[in-house]
Parts: sequence; structure tokens; C-alpha cells
Amino acid sequence: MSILLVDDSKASRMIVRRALEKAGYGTHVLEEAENGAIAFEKIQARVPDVVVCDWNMPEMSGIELLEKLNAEGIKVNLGFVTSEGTDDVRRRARDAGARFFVTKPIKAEKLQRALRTVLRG
Amino acid sequence: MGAAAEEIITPDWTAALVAAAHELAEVALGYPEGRVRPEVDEMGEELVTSFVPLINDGVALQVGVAASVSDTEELARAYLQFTTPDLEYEDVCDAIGEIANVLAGAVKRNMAGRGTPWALGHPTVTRGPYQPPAATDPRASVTLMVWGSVEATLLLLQQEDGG
Repeated sequence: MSILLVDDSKASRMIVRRALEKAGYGTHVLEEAENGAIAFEKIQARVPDVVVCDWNMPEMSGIELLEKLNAEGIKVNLGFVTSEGTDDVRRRARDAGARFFVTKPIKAEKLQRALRTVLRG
Repeated sequence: MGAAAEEIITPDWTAALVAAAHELAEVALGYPEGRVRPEVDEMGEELVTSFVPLINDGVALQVGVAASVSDTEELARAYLQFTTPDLEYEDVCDAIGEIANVLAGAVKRNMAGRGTPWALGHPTVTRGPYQPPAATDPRASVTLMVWGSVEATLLLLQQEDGG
């Protein structure tokens, strides 16, 4: 399985990577991107099984990435891991088709549950 | 009188920030229960400060954390789950920026539903002398958190954003 981590913070990507390892996904292919624009290029080249994405990023935010993927007709299992978490942000994510929404600070169990749900289809 | 002239930072805001710091410490830093010291001593000459703006109509709040260089390195190491001391300064800055980001996001969440939604900005990290506002300043909140031997000052500053 391939997972793309999208976050402008290297620290945050490291934390998500550790959480994924704790959640049992450490042996899967983990790629990284620093913002939505870079992630879009990577997804266009090859659609990963799951995209774990931050919300606030320079260049292109996480929600802008998801909306662009939708507009281009590219279907991908994208969920957010973000310090955001208000109802309006969650609603916007859900309306755009986000598959999960996990707030930071990350608990590995929460991320594990979210990914299991997505991968069950 | 415009919104920028109002004093936004009520005790609720400080409580929201302290709650966010407790959650961060428990979930992400692995620190034992923290203590709050409302009175902040003279801060050292060389500090690392990280601020994330929360922006509303015409008002910006800066949610920040300030600590000595050595305590910032400890916080970064704990956040990144590094057990070795060899952490690049760039990674320390990135981690403390992310810590401020998580705190600001939690404050935004905790204070949601009270008026216009706040927008979360990006972290800014600086190193050097920093003098926090006086405890009596109504447009600021300064709280010292102590986790074992690590001390960090939590900051909420109100400013006009010019927007």
C-alpha cells in the first residue's frame, strides 16, 4: 500500500510517519510532499492508496488540493490530519469528500482507526 | 469603536490555551502533568519564540510559546520523540513552530462558536531577546508552564492586523 504524507512542516511529517508506524503501517510505501501543489503533481503521476494531508499550507492548502482533485476527476482516499478542527472546517472537509479527519496532537490509535475505515472501503 | 479597540483576551482565552498545552503535553510530549505558574520571572536574554496568528475581522491574536534555547530543544526533542541530542537547529525551529500551531488550533477549537470564526495562520519562529508584555496588560496573557525541568511561557497577544 502506498501512503502520501502532505504537510509543510517536516516535524509534522515526522510525527505522522511515527504514528503510522505505531499504527502498523510502517512497512508501507510512504512518500512525502511539502504542500498541496507538490502533492497534486505526485498524485497526477501516480494515485496513492491514501493521502494523509494537512489543512493549512502555503502554495496550496489541503482543502484546495482536495477540491482541485475533485475538479480534475481524480479519485483518491484523502483525509486530513490537522490542528484545525472546528465544526465548519470539518463540514467543509466532509462536503469535499474527505475520508477522515484527525486533529493534532495526533493519537496513533485515532489515525489507525481512520485508516482502517478507509481501507475497508 | 471598532473591533480592534476591544479587549478580546478574557480569562476564557487563557484557560483555552492552558488546556491546549496540557493536551499537547499529555498526547505529544509525553510529559508528566504540568504546573501553571501565573507569575513569570524575568525571562532570559536568549529565547526562542514561536507565534501563530489567529485572525478575525480587523483583529489578530498571536498564540505563542517562548522558552530558553535549551528548553526549546528539550520540547522539540520530546515532540519529535528524539532520544539522542543530535537535533539540527532547523528541526528545532520546525518542531517549536508546529507546537505553536497545535496550540493555536486547539485554542481556536476551544473558543469556537463565540462570534466570527478565527482563521489560523502560519507559524513564525525567532531567536533572540524577547520581553513579554506586563502581566497587567489587558491585551496580553502570559502564563508560565512547568513540566519537570522544562519551562515554557505561553503567550496570547492582541494586535490590530490592519485588515
